[in-house]
Amino acid sequence: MFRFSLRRILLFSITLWLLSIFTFSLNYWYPGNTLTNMSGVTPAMDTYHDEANARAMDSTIFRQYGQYIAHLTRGDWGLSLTSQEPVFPRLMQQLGATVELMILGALLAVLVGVPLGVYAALQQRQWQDRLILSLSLSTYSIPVFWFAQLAILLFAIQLDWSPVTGQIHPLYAIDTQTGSILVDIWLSDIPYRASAWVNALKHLWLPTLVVALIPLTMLVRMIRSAVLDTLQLNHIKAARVRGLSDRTILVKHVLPTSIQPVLREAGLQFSVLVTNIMIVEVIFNWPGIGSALVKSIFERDYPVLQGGVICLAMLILAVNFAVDLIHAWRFPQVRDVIDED
Amino acid sequence: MKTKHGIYYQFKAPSPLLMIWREFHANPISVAAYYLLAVIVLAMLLAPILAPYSPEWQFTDVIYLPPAWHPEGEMRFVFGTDDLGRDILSRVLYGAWYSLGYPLIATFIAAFIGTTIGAWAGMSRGVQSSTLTHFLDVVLTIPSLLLALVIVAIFGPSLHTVMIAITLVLIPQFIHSVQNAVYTQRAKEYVIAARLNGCSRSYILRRVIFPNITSVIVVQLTFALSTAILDIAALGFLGLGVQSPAPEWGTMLARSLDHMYLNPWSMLLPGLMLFVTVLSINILGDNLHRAIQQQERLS
Amino acid sequence: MTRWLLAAVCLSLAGCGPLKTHEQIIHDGLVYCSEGNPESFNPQLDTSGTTVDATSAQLYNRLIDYDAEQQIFVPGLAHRWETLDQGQRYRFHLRQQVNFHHTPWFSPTRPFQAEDVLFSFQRWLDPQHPYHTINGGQYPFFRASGLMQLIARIEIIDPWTVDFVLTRIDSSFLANLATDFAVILSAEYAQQLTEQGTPELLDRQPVGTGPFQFIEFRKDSFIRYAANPSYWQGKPAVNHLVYAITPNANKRMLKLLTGECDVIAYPLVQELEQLDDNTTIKVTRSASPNRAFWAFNTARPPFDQTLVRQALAHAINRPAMIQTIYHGQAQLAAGILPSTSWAYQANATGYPYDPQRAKELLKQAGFPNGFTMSIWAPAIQRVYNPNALRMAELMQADLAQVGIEAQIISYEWNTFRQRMARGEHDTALIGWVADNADPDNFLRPLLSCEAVRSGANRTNWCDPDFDQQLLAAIQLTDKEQRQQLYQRIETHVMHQVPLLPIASSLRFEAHRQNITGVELPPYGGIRFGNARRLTHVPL
Repeated sequence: MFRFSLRRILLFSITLWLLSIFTFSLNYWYPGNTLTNMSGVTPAMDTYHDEANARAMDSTIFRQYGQYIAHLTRGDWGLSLTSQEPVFPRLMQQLGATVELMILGALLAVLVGVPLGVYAALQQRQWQDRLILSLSLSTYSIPVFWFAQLAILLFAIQLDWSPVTGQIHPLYAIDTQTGSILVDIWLSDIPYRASAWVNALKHLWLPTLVVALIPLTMLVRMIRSAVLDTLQLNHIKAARVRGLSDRTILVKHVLPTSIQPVLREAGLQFSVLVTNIMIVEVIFNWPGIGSALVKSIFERDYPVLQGGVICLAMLILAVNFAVDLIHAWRFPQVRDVIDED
Repeated sequence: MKTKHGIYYQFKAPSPLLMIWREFHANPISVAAYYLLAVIVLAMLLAPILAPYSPEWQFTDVIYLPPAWHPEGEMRFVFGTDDLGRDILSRVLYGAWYSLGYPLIATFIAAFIGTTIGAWAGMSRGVQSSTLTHFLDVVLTIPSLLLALVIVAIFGPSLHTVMIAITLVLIPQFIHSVQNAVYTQRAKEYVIAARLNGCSRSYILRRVIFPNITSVIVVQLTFALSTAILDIAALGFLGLGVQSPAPEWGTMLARSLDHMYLNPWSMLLPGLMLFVTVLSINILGDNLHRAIQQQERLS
Repeated sequence: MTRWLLAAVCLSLAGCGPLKTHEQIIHDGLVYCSEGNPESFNPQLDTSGTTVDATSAQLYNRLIDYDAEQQIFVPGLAHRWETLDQGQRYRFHLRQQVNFHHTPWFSPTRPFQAEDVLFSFQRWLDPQHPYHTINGGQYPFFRASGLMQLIARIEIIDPWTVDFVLTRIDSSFLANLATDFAVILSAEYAQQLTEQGTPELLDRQPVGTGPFQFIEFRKDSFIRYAANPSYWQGKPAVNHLVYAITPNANKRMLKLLTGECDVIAYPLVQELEQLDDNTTIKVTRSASPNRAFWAFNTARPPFDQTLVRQALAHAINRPAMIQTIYHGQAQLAAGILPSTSWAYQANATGYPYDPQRAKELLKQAGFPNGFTMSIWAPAIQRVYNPNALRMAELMQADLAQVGIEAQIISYEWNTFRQRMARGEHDTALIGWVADNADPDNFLRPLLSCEAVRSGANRTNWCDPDFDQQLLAAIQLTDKEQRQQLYQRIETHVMHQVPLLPIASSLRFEAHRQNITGVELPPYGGIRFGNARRLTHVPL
């Protein structure tokens, strides 16, 4: 495990390094002034020359890269071209909003997807199984932006179960600290926290549902086929022969083994989740990184765009890294396979 | 298996692809999806004949017309008209070029490049291959939409940019799956036998391994195609894809939202077409995949 | 059940305090769903309607205001004024006991005085002023309206009397002072910021004398205002005013229906009739002195050729736009001046839709096979144009008929304006809302050479002869003579067509039935000072 972890950490660092080179070169590829793309300081500003010096713009590309990394690690991610505000603090707040949606969506997907997948597997080839399977294949094919709009039409307009967009009713004066609305309410000292929470949850459930839907259906299919494969394994047969109850076999033997192939694909599912979050944030006016990123493309606000890309990419890489470690820790055979090549 | 023609008794094993096709053909749902997709592709190809009007012709006197079955609808506009009085049916038919035709082209280009690199990587060993594997693993975890957005930010939104972005984004997927497939086949006995016979590397790749991984490529093709369709539509929906007046389905959908409260039907047809197209491709891919697994279990 | 749940949740938290219900919170405030981010919190720096709506009438006061109904000037921070030296000097007597906002970042030690007036005007008048270059140093309204050249100096007579000395007699001076741009800032606050070394906060953490004070702005999300408890006209009835920034017109409409917004900006025209049926929502429509137009950037070939511009003017079908874009809620424009202006003359000749004539003109200009060009269209609604993008698509099809291939370009509103000011566009679909009733306001800020320099002239058309005539017109005091001169000017401009007028739209606003007192002055933004929420919906 130690050797494996070391290898993974090394790999993770190399990936981050590659990412930094990629985002560094993006500054040169975007249209316009490279320094402005990097720092948000335009030639019209007084600070332009100081910034050019600080970022070693007239030196070699290697020095420039070094300065880029130095600024990045210092938390100096430049200024927004539209609002002149520093990018980094805003981004951290947006990250909070995005991560909130991410965690809740992932939770919902797991809590509903896993039991549904197991149930489908146990009912293999029965009508329940077929229903779940075909439903999941259909929902998997729905364009998420279409589904989100249909959901708004139904739940917000027709049924009035949910507001149309936003994190909370704007008249609740909640200070934005972490960006995650539930945490922010908890941190704030307003006298009407309880009704703020109720209101926030009313805003939250619909986007969470839309975000979770596709990863959920993927999870159902993966769990189902993993459980089916596991049921064929000898140790399950042996357990059955020994006369263990179905429930014990399922919980103690089938599930732990079935998780392995699902965990292997967790990276892919997370990437689908992130894609959905980006679109859902735009539709629900969610003040997260996804909507900021899309908006920054319209505004040609490259420092914000860069920040969003780095943030999302790092988040994805970190999650994958964590999943890898958990995977290897839980299923030692994986370490050998990966160590081989 | 006996062939019908010829005097001598001949036994010819069907190709792996054919065997999978037979397995696949036994499933009515897959067949339905297959024909549905064929109809959509046909409609796309025949759009100039089938479409009653030009997709850009504006009947400014009949804007926001509901579909023909609605009391206010008119027979000459079966699915109604949009905000500029353009026939929605014609737009959707022509839109298939953008929402299905271009993704198809992008997928095939990506498949060609990706398969070539993947095959090379699968045949090579050592540092080269392992570096590529790890690098690909990383790239694959980044959502394709995010990469496409970055490319759009660099070149500005247009059809060309979208095509470049989608093609580039799909290539790693093909490299990854082809490399894995080649890698698995390479260790099999029939390949070793061929190698012992002194076949050249390229012969082994082209004539020995390749027929056995076609099915993997086909499944990957369906997967990539549905990704391409959804990504192009998503870019269009965000206003960063194909630009107006092109009747791309995602763009049409985004436009229809401006009046979805009054005219909900205008978001119906483009959305439904996207859904049906992607669904039939997914069913196709899913059942192909299952048929392959079935074959592997049998052999 | 819900109440029990609430109580349970509340009990489980330390320091929950008295339970304030959702209804109470809603009752205490008002949500206005606006269409975009303000570019600054000081309207001196920006002429965008979005900025004006968000700031002028809420945060600030002006020396005088204009009452459009009675067509007279009414007192603002100046309670009385008089003309001296045959109209070359104006004396303003200031209101006493007016306090600036008391905020966490500024505690005023003295009430509003003549010094504040001096500071507010000197900032943009005097290029040497320490605040002149802060936050851009562009004062588009004052430059384009000629106020910068008009005011010779400002003299403080005593703490409550101030004199404006003009370089010449100008009939539009008071009208310009009454616009939303001539706001009064606090000199004391500016001094405090200079000492702190953060002068740029003057326009970002604003302090004014208006009915609301600034709390927080979060880009793309909201602006939060609170009632000014010591407002000189009495504390506003609305305690918390929130601008929920919702660029998508469809979402604004939906949020109004669900009650998430109390008032919305620029409702979609085609949904208005639907809304009128709805008993919970009220739509108001009012005449507005605005003009949508198609500006040709004459600094770029081939738009420097008059023939080409005339051809383009003939090529597009404007009557169709009135139907599809405005849904009949607008008037086709013949000339530059809108029909609400007193100088308007009905006999101005327009450019009828005539593709054949357009082709001929193009051939004469040397483009028998057309050319490619771009149409810039903003992605958000404006008073004068409910959907510029859709209008651009309509034009795209019209232009294709005469062999011109047009490409539509759009950016987010502020980026759009900045790029247009830099002259990056070929042609643009924009418009103008008059700041005051003077016809000069429709010509000088849009088409003068001075406006080219400030970036407000989207056509970059500079004709010294035209400028000369404008100057002559403004110095006339006889209305009839002025009207005749404006007619000559208009004929000249229409022949040159640096811009093609399209339409004048009605102005719309939609709100929930239980909201009253939201004012939409024709020459200004939106005012919430007298807005209130009724507990019971009137029948």
